[in-house]
Amino acid sequence: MKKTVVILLVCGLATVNAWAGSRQLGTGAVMQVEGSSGSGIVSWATIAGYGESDETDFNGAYTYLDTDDYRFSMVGASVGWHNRVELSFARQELDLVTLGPALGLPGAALKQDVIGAKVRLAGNLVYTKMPQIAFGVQYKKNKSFLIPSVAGATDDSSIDYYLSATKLFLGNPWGFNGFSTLTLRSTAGNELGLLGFGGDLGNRHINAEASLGLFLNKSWAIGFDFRQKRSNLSFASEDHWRDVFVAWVPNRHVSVVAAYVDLGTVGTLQDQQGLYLSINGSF
Amino acid sequence: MKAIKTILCSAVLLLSFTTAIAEETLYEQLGGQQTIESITKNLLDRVLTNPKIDFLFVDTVREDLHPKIVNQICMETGGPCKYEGLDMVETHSGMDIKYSEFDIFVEEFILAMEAAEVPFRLQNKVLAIFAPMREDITYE
Repeated sequence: MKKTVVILLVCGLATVNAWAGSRQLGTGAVMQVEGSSGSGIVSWATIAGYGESDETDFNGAYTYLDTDDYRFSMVGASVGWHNRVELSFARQELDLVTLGPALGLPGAALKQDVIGAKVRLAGNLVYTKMPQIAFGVQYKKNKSFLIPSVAGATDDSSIDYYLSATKLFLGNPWGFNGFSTLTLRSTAGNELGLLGFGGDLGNRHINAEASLGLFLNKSWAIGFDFRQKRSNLSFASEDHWRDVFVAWVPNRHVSVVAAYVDLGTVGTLQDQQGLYLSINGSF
Repeated sequence: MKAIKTILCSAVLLLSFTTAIAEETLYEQLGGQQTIESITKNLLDRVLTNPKIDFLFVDTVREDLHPKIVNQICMETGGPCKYEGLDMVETHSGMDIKYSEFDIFVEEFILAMEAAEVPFRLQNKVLAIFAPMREDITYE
């Protein structure tokens, strides 16, 4: 999978002058940690890539986050069809750098696959007064359920449902282009699902996610994300996630995101903060 | 006392200054007719030679289109002009313009403003005026 995505990315980069969708720069957002179009940790209402109503775009991404106690990586691929439907696949891996050896399992990692689908229901990010609104699902399958089950998780697979509204504000504020997203997600995931689903404290919750940012010029954007999280496992209580990000979109084929992420307590280890890097290819 | 007076005077001066900026029309901020002429020339140079959308202009005479676009930008940005052409629905009816073709036009418009040295923040304000016209111009 990693190889496939790298090949997809290289192909994308190598064909910089080749055909891509015609939507304006940045309107495809980037691939978030579960493979759907959005920002670092939040799913947006955007459809991946730059395809318009008669165009289809393919996207790939590699994301890496290091908090010292954990190393997270994601490889993902998605297709945006006619600015209407998005299908995505993401493979996540969380290396238990500190916990693994402590548990007598050096090299242990939590793994999960996410298959996503999203449909734009109404509105247009740029051109309509109303925000772009989309409904999405993410089928999540934990591929390393032994540790989550010992921690008390009840299921190794589950589906997230989310409703999202995203809007770009031309010339606002101060002449820049601002953007914002509000997403409501129904999920049973523990730490996205990397620690399985459900537990002794509960099962499904509806959580809020939000992003707010600004395009400083055509190719550079800054912003922050917030993702509400709630605990199903008394053994491993969760904190809300947040990040501040800088995105660079030199053309329709490449985007790079750097973020500083604060995950709070993850799997009993406090103050998990670190640098997040993501490279996206689109063609 | 003198210091307070100075501060007060500076504050009043600053306020009147910011108000003056706020009252300047987008037309004036752009640099008036000269900049709009330049944007329009760049725009037509670009769209009439872009193979993805040039066919949309086959029935159009550049000499007729140029002053219409200039007048429209001038009027919409608060300048002293009156656009007297057909409205956006009438002008584009029967042309079956797709969203993707509209997007390409918008990109050429942005590049035309860049070439006319319109700052990013003014470009966005101009785009904000024309963006809601998408549904009138396209057929989708």
